[in-house]
Amino acid sequence: MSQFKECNLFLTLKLFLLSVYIFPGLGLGATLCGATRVSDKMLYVAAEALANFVSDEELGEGKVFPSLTKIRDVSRCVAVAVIEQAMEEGQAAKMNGVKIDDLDAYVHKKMYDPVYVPLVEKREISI
Amino acid sequence: MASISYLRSSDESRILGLGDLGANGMGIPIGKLSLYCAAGGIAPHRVLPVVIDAGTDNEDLLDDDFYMGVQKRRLKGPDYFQLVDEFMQAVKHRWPNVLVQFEDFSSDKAQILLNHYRDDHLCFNDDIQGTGATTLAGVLGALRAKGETVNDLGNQRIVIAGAGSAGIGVAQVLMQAMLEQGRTPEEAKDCFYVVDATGLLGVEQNDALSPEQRTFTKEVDGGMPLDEVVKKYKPTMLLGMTGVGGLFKEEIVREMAEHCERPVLFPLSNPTIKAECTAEQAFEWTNGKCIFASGSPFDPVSIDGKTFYPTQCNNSEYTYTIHTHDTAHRFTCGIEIICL
Repeated sequence: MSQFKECNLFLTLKLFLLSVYIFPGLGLGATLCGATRVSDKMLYVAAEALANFVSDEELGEGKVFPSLTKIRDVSRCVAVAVIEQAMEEGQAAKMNGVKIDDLDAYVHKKMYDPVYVPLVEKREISI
Repeated sequence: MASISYLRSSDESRILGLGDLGANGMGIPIGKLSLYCAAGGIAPHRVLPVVIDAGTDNEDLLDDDFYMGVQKRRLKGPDYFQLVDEFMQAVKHRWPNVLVQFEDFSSDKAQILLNHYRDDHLCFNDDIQGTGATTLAGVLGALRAKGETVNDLGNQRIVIAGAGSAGIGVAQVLMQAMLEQGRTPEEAKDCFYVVDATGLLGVEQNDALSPEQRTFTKEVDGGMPLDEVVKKYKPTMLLGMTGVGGLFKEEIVREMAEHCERPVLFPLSNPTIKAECTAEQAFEWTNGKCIFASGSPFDPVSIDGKTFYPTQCNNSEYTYTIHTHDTAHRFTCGIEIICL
């Protein structure tokens, strides 16, 4: 019974993963450009982009991954690398014939931001 | 349309260390997809968690009146693959551009499914490919910390302790990366020294090894123990995937620092007691020169007033608290990502 409750109302999960640095950006890039498959080279450029994202300051402290607080920037950077690779392989179905000058800005624009959008305009009330 | 949220598909035959959860594993794809939204900026209405309920072999669940999944034994063999194939076809038919992320399939099925679908479906397996890419990124990051560039991977001498699936998996990922960087297979192979409990993998063992392990066998010095391999071949990187706590002894670690300006030490086994060496040992024995990442969490280490932050490189443990959202608005647009 407790399992049932937990699943439906309030779910505390322990996830063991660090691939959180890779897969969100990989998924974002692959779906944005309409890739037809995930190639080995795409995984490689994703890893390369992640490694190159680590700042010199962080490297100096002995860190080999960027701070998790920058995860959205990491994902964007990984997504851009994946899209560029897909375009090179001729796999970016949604990008064919589309010329994008600033891929980074394009991906940024396409990313979802979890902000509250008011449904109605606020008004002055006196209660 | 909303009925699809109850399509409980995914074979939860291997969830982390939790065992066979059957349909109760639904929280895992939900959690993964929450990360897609939070970390990747994918809109929440464009993702769909799926659990393929192929039954369960968990006795408790088979007897539990409140278990919501199919109370039958797991499908096996062709029946099972038929079920997954029906799902894959249906999903591609409904959303042709969908990305399917496989997750938590037991290892005997994961590779078969990935090989079968990766060429004509947009899909990947996070346990195999995501973890591999993350480990590769850690190694490439370590190269940058050494003052080299990511393209110097092929110039390394890499000793891998542990010839199990984890050790060989990492060796394959690194070798693939060297090939992507333009090395020949022979050049790439020469960079690796794989050592297991019986010593350095040598050609004389070939008959007893899997084809994957055989890639990395050496012509000479088969059976040489780890400390001598380190002494003789002067590796620049030492990666541990043995699950043998304390395997990287003081003289091995000191020897690494002896012949190498910035040795890379990655004891990737977890939990902490199984780590090949601790962060404190690694930094102390190398006078803070090593670049360290581990599979288990360690606290920062201070040596001579300088603080070093150990990186946790794989299977990091995070706790997420997830509120289930109202799913009513979920199915307004095409689905882009499905997490199995």
